Amino acid sequence: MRNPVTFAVGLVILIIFGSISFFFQVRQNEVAFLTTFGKADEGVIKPGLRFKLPWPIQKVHRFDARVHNFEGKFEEVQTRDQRNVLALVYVGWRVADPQKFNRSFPGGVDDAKRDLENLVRSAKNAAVGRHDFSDFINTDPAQLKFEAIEKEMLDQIAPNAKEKFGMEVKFLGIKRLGFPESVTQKVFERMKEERQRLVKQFEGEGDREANIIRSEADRKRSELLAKAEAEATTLRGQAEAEAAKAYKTLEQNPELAVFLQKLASMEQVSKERATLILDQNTPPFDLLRGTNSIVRPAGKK
Amino acid sequence: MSDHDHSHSHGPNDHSHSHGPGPDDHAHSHGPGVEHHHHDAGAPDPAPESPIEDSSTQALSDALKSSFVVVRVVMAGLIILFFVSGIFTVGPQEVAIKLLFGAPTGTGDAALLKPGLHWSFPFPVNEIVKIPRGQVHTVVSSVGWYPVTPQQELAGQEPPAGGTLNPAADGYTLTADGNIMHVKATLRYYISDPVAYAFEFVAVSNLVQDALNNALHHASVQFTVDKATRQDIAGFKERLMGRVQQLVTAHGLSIEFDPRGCDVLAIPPRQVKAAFDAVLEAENDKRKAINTAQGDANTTLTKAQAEADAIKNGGRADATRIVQSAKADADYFLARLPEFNSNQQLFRDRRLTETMAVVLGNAQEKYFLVERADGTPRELRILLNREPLKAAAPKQP
Repeated sequence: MRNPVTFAVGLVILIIFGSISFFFQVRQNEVAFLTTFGKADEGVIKPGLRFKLPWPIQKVHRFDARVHNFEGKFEEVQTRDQRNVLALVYVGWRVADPQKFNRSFPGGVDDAKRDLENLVRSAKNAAVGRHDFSDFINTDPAQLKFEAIEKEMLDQIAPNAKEKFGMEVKFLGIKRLGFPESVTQKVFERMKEERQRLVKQFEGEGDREANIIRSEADRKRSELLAKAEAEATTLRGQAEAEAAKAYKTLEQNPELAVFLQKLASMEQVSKERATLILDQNTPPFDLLRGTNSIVRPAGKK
Repeated sequence: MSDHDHSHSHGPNDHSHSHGPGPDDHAHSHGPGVEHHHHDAGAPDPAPESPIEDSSTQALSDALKSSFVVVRVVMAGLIILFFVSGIFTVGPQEVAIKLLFGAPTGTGDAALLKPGLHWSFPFPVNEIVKIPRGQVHTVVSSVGWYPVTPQQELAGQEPPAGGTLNPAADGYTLTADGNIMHVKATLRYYISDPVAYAFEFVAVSNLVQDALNNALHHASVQFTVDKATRQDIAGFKERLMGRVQQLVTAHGLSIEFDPRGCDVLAIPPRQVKAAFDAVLEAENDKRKAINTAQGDANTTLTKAQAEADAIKNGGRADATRIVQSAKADADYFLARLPEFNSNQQLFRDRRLTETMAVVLGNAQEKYFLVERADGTPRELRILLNREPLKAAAPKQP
């Protein structure tokens, strides 16, 4: 041990190269497997520090184990009732079987996306083709099969992807749904016609409802007044009946009663802008009778 | 030169001296002079070294000593740097996960390093993954709106609307009544599970955006264009958010929605905007007509109620008057009856005269026809053609 420093440096270098050759680490977001002389070992290596024999005996193959996001193309598909729609589907997938994935896609994830796109297209065409357009859009939620269609696609893709490619398709959803460009113009025309119909409908409804409201108010007014009149008449009748009891008193001398009534009537009538034309026969002007008459011969009226 | 150096540094005599108590001793023992002679005492005489070679050896020795010092300093520096490089900070909006040879050092919250100063072994022993947990992340839906450049957005302008919608450029959704509308949604969220956020998904934001886009279509296909854009905006938003929440939970996206929630804007296509505006106008007119009618109805009913009350009050007043009048008449009758019975003619004449006085006082116009001197009756001709009464002029305040 001539020089401890040199020894220490050499030891460190040896450890570093030894570590590189004999150890490897798998990150938490990775999935890996080993090949021994090119033959893949069974099992998936978990995250952490792992041992391996140096190259060329063993080699580590590692893949990103996180969920990748993939989306197909926004392309035309046909529904069961022969309606052309555009649909775009997205998929969340991860490497589940790294050995199989490695065998299927030596080129890596880009190769995988190409095959996944084919799977997605096939499942999309099949699922959409099994449903009418009304299964995609519907005012009645019970008739809507939006989620069921997505599930059908997933159920078709997931087993194939796992079996063939070692990929786990965790979820799938429709990202876009639309009409071919030429159809959108027709939709706009239809929407305009609908709007015009609605304009007329609202105009008619406005007049109709206004008339209903007014006539209803008139009806209620008539009812109110009729009830009020009836109530007033009832009150008057009850009053007349009670008055009749008082008028029984007048039966003691009907002549006086009528005379007094006439006097009262005269007074009442005279209050209303009356014009009176009187002669000398009307009291108290009867006192004037004979004051301006000529002397009549005897025996002549 | 190197050969020369080599013969000096590794010679038998040098070797015996090189095993001193330490490197410094070794270095000093190589100086020319006494020590050198001492070593040569019991050995055959070597070839005498020239002074030039001695000075070269000395220089070389000094250089080597200096090199060793430098190497030691550098190594010490590297060691210090190695440990210092492991110091790191976690920001106030962040958490960090310490990986030991690639695997987290704990589970759940125990795996998270809180904001502050921390230390770890440098890579590859430890690795630090920082996650902006406290930060609000925002995603904007990308499939329901027409393309607007940032300049146009800033200027509040819109691109001209074509006759059709190009699927490659124009975003829109389909509604339950088979129509088209534009929808834009902005979702804000926090990271709720940093470990899953960092290690389970390549890009959580992309998946959240996909979930939001899916939810836009999912909600749109259940609402008519009128409901989504005007009549039930809150319901549409609720359905949208419900679907996003459902997808986030199902996919395990490790996020929580910001309390401010989601901004949603749904409008009819610009191509049919005028038609939709006409409907709005017609609907407003309808509402106005109904409101006017309701106002008229209220007025009518209020007046009717007042009229009815007046009629009832009139009835009550009449009833009171009738009863009181009858009682008064009866009382008056009873009061006058004895007088009448005592002298009917006198009573009649007196009461008639009194009444005539009142009547004449009340009458507006009075004509007295005096009997002709010859006793023949007078003729009175009345022409009933009076002008209608004019309404009295209002009094000046």
